[in-house]
Amino acid sequence: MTGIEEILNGFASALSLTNLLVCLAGVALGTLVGVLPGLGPVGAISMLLPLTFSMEPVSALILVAGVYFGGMYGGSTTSILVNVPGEAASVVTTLDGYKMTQKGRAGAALAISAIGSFIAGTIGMVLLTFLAPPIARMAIKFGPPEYFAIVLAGLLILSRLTDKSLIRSYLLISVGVVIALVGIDPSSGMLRLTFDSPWLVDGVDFIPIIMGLYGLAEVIGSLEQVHLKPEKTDLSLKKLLPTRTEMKRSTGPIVRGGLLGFFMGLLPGPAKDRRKRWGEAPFFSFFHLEKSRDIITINEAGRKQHDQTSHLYDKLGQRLSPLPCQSGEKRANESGSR
Amino acid sequence: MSQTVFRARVITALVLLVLGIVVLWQSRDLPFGTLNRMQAGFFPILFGCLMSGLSLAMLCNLYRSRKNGAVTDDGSHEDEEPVHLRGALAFIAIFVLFVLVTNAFGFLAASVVAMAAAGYVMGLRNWRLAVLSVGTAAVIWIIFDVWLGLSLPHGAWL
Repeated sequence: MTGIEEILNGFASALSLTNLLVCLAGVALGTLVGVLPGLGPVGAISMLLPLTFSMEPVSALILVAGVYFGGMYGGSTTSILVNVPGEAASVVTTLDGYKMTQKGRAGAALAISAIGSFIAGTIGMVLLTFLAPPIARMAIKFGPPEYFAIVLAGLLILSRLTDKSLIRSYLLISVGVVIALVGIDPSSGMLRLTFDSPWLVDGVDFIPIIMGLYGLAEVIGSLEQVHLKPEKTDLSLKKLLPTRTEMKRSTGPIVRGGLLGFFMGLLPGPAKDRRKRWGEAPFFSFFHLEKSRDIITINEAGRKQHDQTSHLYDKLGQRLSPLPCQSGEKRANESGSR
Repeated sequence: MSQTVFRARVITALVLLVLGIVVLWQSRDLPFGTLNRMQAGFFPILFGCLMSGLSLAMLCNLYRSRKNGAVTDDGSHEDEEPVHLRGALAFIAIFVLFVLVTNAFGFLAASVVAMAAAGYVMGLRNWRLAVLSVGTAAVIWIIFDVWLGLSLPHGAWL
């Protein structure tokens, strides 16, 4: 009973007008900072922490939490709009979010991402409140063999996302792992693959790789579309929001993602270190799970595969009405016709 | 597959084969350990061997494809994408220029130079080019230096 009373007191405190406004400010600031590439939630919190020094403890905590959630969401904005992930967790968002943007459904993609973040975050909070002690007891039992098994499973599943050829897939995975090996070995402290260069002692950071892979590729790809002129179209709010069918089809993946993310987050250990070493293998493995359920499809060839993206919307059971952004479709049509 | 794709895949396999050999060479002095007690050299050697082996397998597959007549001279295959080679090389050169100018004159000067070069490659001219290059540097300075308080790198000469 005491626990329930404390929870209710916490709700009463959090739902005061002041704290709600503080939360709004935190989420807005966090989103703005999260959009900037290379600055994730942790960077956003670090920079905005001085704001909390003069605040009440509860309000300060709410502000910091809002900044964190906003920062996590902000990374997906650039992933969806320009195919450049804002931070590591947003890499998978590019796979389908940018395809929706090319189809003229950027607003819907952003909305689904925001709604999904909200629902999954709420699921995580509720589960954490009630289930944390027993699940944490189980999570502590995860040791190096279990982590290795998870990462290996993720990498093997990842190989099926990239290419039809298994050899090329495993080759690319090997390249990724070799890049991650550069630097100091955590067990022995020995330098690996640094070529006696002091610049490589800290290893290769994830963000420059993402910028090179996605940003540079996008810039080079856009060189082919320089001659195209954007067309003005009339936009209505209705066209910017997801349709009922899209929301219905997104509900399952959102809930599954929330549950899977909750259990993955419970695994103890430095998450950043895990991510740096093994990439986003768990995210990709979940992505493949969703792919296999025919709810979403991937498009590894990028913007040229206009027909496959159309097939996606056929599968959703809805023909889109004239798209709000005709220029996107025109570019895709012209590119696909070459 | 077309000749272009064939050549691209051969080059890729050769580059990765060389990379695999370089990884093995660099890791030759690292202790390997055992399966129960892996040491620093275990994964570099393992993945170096994997990369080299897979590259050789890819080259064998390509040779067999060519022998079986799967490589055609005509048209473009459905998986192919045309590559804007001049633009790709130009942007790689711009990034190298950016790094050199940052080391010498700092981040803001490098931003102006790099954005001007990039805009020129993309076809911008006159006032649009000036707005892009100077405006981008100004926005970056305002957001990161003024608002967020992150000091941008200063060059060795400034």
